Amino acid sequence: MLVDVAQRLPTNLKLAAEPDAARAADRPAGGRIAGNDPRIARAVAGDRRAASELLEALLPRVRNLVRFLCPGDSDVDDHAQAALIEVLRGLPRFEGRSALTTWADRITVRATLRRVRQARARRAQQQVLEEELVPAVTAAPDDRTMTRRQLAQMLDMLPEPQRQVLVLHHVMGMSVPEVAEALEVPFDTAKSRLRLATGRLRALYGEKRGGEDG
Amino acid sequence: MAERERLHEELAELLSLEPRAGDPGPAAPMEHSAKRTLIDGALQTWSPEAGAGLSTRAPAARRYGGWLLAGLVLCVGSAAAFYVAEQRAVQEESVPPVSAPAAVPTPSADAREIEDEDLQALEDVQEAVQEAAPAGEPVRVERSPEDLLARGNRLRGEGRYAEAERTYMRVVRSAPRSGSAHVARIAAADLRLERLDDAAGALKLYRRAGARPGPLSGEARAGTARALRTLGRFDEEQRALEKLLKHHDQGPAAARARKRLDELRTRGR
Repeated sequence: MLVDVAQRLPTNLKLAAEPDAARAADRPAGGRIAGNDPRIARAVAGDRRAASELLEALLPRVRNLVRFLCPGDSDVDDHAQAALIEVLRGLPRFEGRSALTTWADRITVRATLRRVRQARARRAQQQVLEEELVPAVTAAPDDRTMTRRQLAQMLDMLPEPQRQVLVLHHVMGMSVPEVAEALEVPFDTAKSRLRLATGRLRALYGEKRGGEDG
Repeated sequence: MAERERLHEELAELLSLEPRAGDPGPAAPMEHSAKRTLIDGALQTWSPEAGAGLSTRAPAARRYGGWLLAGLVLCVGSAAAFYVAEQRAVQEESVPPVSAPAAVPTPSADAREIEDEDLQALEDVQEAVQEAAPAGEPVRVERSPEDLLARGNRLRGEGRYAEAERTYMRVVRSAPRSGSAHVARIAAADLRLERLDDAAGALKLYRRAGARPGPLSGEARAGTARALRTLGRFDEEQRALEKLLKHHDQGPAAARARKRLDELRTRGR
């Protein structure tokens, strides 16, 4: 079962087998949509404008989460739209016990991982890479501040399974057992992938920083 | 060690979905028009009625309602059979005829409630009967295009692609000029191309969808090119891609189109 991630966003990259409740301490509130936002009830009642506003507010976050999860930019919008459709469909069942953004994050992760699995199966079946990834746009950084887009391009260098574990753990704040359950892999596998992914990302990031410093 | 911790902290800061000044996030920037298209596309698959009833799994009451109803029918049937058998036995054993009252049992409030909850399931059965036996007495089942579209989406989500495609085509037939039909055409075309090995059928639908300007015209044009590629009609594919880029030069579909056009031009394919 996925967790209420709004309560646990990471503040470090330490490998944690259990969730650290203290992580949430100084998380900024911007971008969050409260669970009792009046537009939710209006959308459930059929107000198209309220539904549209909610989707508009959720879209950047959903796209960012999808981009963290998937290599390249080519499928981001398709996955994001599929996630938003699931959010809309699930809205009548949303009970408002967490922020809407938290709930939508969980749906986005589920929907995206499912679509990634389906796409992988389809490719394996057809043995043809119909839709090759569009190479990531690698705009050279013109300052020393790395953006999340550049970080996502770095994540593109990780194997897909490692990337997914890392994003679920560090972006979504899931514990390793929760990650293992979400990805339907054994605990030890999830832990091992996380260790490898964290080490690899740290090395890539260090190299980049070192290069810039030099 | 301090350097290592600094790296950790910087990375953790970056691995976040929260808004950051000057950093919109890992996803590529998106133009407003593309945002609108994406959101409108999502909204087109949604309707208030569908939204309220779009649970991918039927409510427990409905799921079990069918079984309860079947049980109820069995009980009533058994009781009636028992009653008839009893009456026959009585008739055989005693001379006086029985003026059978044959009172039709009035459904209890619970039974009525179960029936109400199960109306949807009965509709589904009626529809299946109608589809299975078109020559028979037609059973009227009214569904709105939005309902049908939602049903098609559900079937597609369950991997029942052929049924989903038929359902989408019912949307097209029932309200060919509606927004739902526009979405359904493209959804049916995608299934024909990607799941049902019917690129020619997909091409027809994509072309019909592409003839109508709207938020999904880019999808339709991109689909046309993919179908042509599958059919091996590469010259036409190239023209379709050029047309796509003429109207939609931004976004992932445009990037894919450019890449494919380069391939076609450089490899002659």
